[in-house]
Amino acid sequence: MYIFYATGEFINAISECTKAIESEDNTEEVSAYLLRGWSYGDQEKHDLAVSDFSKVIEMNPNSYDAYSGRASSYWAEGNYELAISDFSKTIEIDPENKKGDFGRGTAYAAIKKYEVAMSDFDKAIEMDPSFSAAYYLRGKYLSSIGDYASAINDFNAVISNNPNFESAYFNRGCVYVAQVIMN
Amino acid sequence: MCLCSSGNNELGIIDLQKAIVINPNNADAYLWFGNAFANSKKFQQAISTHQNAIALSNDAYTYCVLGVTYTKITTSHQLLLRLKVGYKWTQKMKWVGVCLHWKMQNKELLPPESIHSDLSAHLQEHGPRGNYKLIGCQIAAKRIVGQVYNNGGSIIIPL
Repeated sequence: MYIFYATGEFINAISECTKAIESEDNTEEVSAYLLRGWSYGDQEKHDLAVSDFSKVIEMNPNSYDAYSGRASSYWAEGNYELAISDFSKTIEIDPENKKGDFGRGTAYAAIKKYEVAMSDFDKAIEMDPSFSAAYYLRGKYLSSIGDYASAINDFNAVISNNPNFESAYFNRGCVYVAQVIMN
Repeated sequence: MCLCSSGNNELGIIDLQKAIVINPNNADAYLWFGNAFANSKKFQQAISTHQNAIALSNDAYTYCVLGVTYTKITTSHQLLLRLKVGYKWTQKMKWVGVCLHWKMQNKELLPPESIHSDLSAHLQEHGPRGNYKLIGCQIAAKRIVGQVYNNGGSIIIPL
């Protein structure tokens, strides 16, 4: 099941995981639920993914991977409040992992709670000063509130790490142009 | 201020060109590239670039910007015709309707805040692109309203 998942053969991975879950030998049960949850997520079957991740959480209430996977599936389904709750749990379990703060920031941004989203992006960037995705989203927010100079700094950071990132050029270009007009 | 503004506009042009080179189907990049030309008062190039954006996206907002840009290159004699054309293009955009309606009827000068409020309501439907669209619409509204203010509210265009 691991190889199928690693090679992107998700349908086969799901089938193998199901066999492992139904087997009397339950030594790989947690891994099988987790792997099947990720596979369902990759197949965009998020309700099934949530169910599997929830099963893992029942068996291991401190599973970072399960909370993280379930948060992503909630996010994909548009259940942002639940995603925020699960991302918060991942931060509690592993406070040094930037992905929790970043994920929660994107969920806050999705429900227009931009100030808290910014705070999460700030923390993610503090943990990893080369975290382009966080710079990019923070830059987009800063540009939307008219803080053009800070937005440009963030897009500069993105472009220096990803010289072919079209959206960063586009957004920085828009900010330069908007800056001129708004002045 | 002028030198600084001009410099930023040039930087914007460079970035937007780069975005278009990486993805020639980015209609929004053409739209803002056109806005940059309009900033430099290169209105024919702005129009041509906005037309490229429309060819890619057939987006109502771009029609609106194009309509506004057309008003920049017309004489007062031609303005009525251009506004009528612009209005046809942009009839789905409430705020342009509001602006043009005032111009056409010469009734009441709507404060920019009222137009911005209409913009915000409309643009909430635009999702992630809304932010830039909002900025863009504010810019366009500012131009239109500014034009009215600058003329002492005396623009009268009979239908």
